[in-house]
Amino acid sequence: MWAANVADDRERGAKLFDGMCATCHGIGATGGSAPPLNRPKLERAATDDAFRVILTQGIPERGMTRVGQLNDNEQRQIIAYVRSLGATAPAPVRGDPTKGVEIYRRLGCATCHIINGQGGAAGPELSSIGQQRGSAYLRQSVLDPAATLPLGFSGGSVAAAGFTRYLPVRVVTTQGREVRGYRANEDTFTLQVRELDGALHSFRKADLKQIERLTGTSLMPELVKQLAPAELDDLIAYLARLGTSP
Amino acid sequence: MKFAGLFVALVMAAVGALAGEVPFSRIVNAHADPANWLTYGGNYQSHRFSRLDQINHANVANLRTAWVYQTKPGIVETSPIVVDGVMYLTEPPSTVTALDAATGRLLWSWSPSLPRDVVVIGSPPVNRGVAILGGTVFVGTVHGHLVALDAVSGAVRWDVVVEDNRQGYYLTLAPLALDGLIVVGVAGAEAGIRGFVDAYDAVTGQRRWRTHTVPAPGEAGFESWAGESWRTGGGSTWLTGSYDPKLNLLYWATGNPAPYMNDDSRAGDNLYTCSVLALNPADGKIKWHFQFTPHDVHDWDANETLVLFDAVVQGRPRQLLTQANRNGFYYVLDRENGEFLTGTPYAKQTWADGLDAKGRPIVRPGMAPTAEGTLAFPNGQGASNWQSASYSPKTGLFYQCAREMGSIYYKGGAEYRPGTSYRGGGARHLYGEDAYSAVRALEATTGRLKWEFKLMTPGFTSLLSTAGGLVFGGTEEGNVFALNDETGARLWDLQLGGPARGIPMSFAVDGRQHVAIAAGNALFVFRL
Repeated sequence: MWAANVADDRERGAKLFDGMCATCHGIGATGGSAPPLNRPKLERAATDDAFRVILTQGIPERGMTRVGQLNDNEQRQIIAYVRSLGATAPAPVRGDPTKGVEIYRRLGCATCHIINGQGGAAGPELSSIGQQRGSAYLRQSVLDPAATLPLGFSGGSVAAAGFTRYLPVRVVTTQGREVRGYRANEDTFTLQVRELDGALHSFRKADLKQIERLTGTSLMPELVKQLAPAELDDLIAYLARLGTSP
Repeated sequence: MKFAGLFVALVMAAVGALAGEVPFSRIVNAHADPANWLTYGGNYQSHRFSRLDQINHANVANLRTAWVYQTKPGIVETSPIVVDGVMYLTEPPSTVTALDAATGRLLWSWSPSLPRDVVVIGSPPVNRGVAILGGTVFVGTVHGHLVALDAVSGAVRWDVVVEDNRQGYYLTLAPLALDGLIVVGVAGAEAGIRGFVDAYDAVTGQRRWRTHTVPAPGEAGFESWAGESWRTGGGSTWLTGSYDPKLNLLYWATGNPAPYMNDDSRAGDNLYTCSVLALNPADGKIKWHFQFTPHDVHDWDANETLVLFDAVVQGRPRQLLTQANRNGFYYVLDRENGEFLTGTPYAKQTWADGLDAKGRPIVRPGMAPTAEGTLAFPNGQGASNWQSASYSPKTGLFYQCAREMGSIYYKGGAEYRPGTSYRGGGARHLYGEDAYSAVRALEATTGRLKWEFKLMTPGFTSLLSTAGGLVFGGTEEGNVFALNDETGARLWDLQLGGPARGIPMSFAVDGRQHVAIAAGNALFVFRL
């Protein structure tokens, strides 16, 4: 009986979600202009109460408006549906996170990534990456970083909606000077490029004779190709644990 | 006695020509009063063109900030009005603020008391500006009211409920002031409202007429709705219309049918959604209509700026109405009778194989939303949207920022419950490195592209053209810019630190031309 009710809730919730949430979060909560919600942990909605607060108040600082007028039942149905999406894709995490720490150290990942305040800043911070991304995504990021460069979000100060962050670029000034690095930001008239050592170069596009956006590439070295499959599992197990409660 | 009489005469003269008063005739003759910006679109023809030319090609690079006004948090999409040294702007969600236009110093600010559970479904809670008539400023609110404020003090003169916000009706548009009338429309088709255009007595706030955009049984056009679907048929009227004082016709455009991406319940053309209506301002009667997108399934509201001008088309002088529609086509109509003259894509579109001789789209099969998702162009927020176009009588060009992006359109469930979302699906917008927008200058009588200037992000860029030969706008990345109106060449730009969603306008105070545009949570005002 209980199980049947839960299934009903999910089905009702799916309809409500399609009507009210899918424009931004995508059908099936696969993500659109707003984040995907089909993941096991929703950091802003860790509890059902927190989820209800988001439904009734929105997340104004992220541009999410409150969700129409929902009664308690409808709130429960939407929550049941969204939670079911995260629950249906449990990503099996093989490997030993403790060994993973060692592998992370050995590969020198900390040269470019910060975890809990330690490390270099040329790549994305990873302190909470296990909470923000599923392990399948993490595995793909490690194996093929160019395919999974993170995206900016609407209203974000680093690039804008849907633009690729850490995109490698190569520019040549009208004087013939060449700079390679990743795109720190860009607007219609200017481009900001960082080299891996952190040096910032600011250009007016009018002063550049060439701008190459090296889509399909990443500045991350292919160090993981040296890893045995079990070692890769260990590394993923470590990353998947970051930011999650112990 | 003689002296006292003179004093009275002086006072009467002063009162008779009260500074800041805007009679109807002054708006009709807005072109002769370029120091002031008296109505949302700059004039009744919605040209968003300034006859001021102090700022021009030669000196625009020397523009500097005159002042900045910090607004309330939220998205600022306002188009200020300026009358005799006073600026009236709106702040999110429904605040009206009067400033000294020379310095930006506050004169007064008024905010409605909004219920905590105000229903805003279909857009962010924004406001696009006020109307002024006589000595009264008019604002629509997100809780569905129309409020008249004293222009000097901000005191409420009257406050009327346009329609019940709990059903999803809300106002974001700048009202339009006609002769003794304040005209407004409503948003809320995403909640399944039944749209209308309303006219109110400017003095008393009494409603003079209401014209529904979805006909009831017995009315013309009712046959274009299946079953009971007309009751929740949408057809919002959420952007300010245009007016032709000579023909005495009011032009108002309408939005999507509801639910937009699930059309199972609403077989038919769904008149008068995604249309333009020509209305008699005396009684609201529809003189003619033209439907841009019959039976819309992509949320292609037709509410975009309606630009009125006269020109010779195919050897014949015509009174024209043109629009860069959200569906990707630029339309040229005869505004006397609604006759379709020409229509041509101004942005990438994949949903139609063109328009037939009457302007009806030849819909391409397989482009409707599905459960699995259908890729179509333009994107769900359209090739254009609320952002203002501009028409320059100087160049004869229609300036529009086109959004070049596709969306995956999904069909979902649709169950009507008052005051809740009634969309029947959604669109996933394909932002990313390939999406962009472009300021496009179209030959206004044909839609032929004369030049374009690409912007990085598909944003909401409103444009202002000026007699100084400039086109002003802003970008989603926060730039404000000025382009050469004949060539599109960049002449000036400045980073303002927040997405430029404001609608640019121009005015003069103390003999100096100013240009105003909001970006982020501030209004920026520039002068030489």
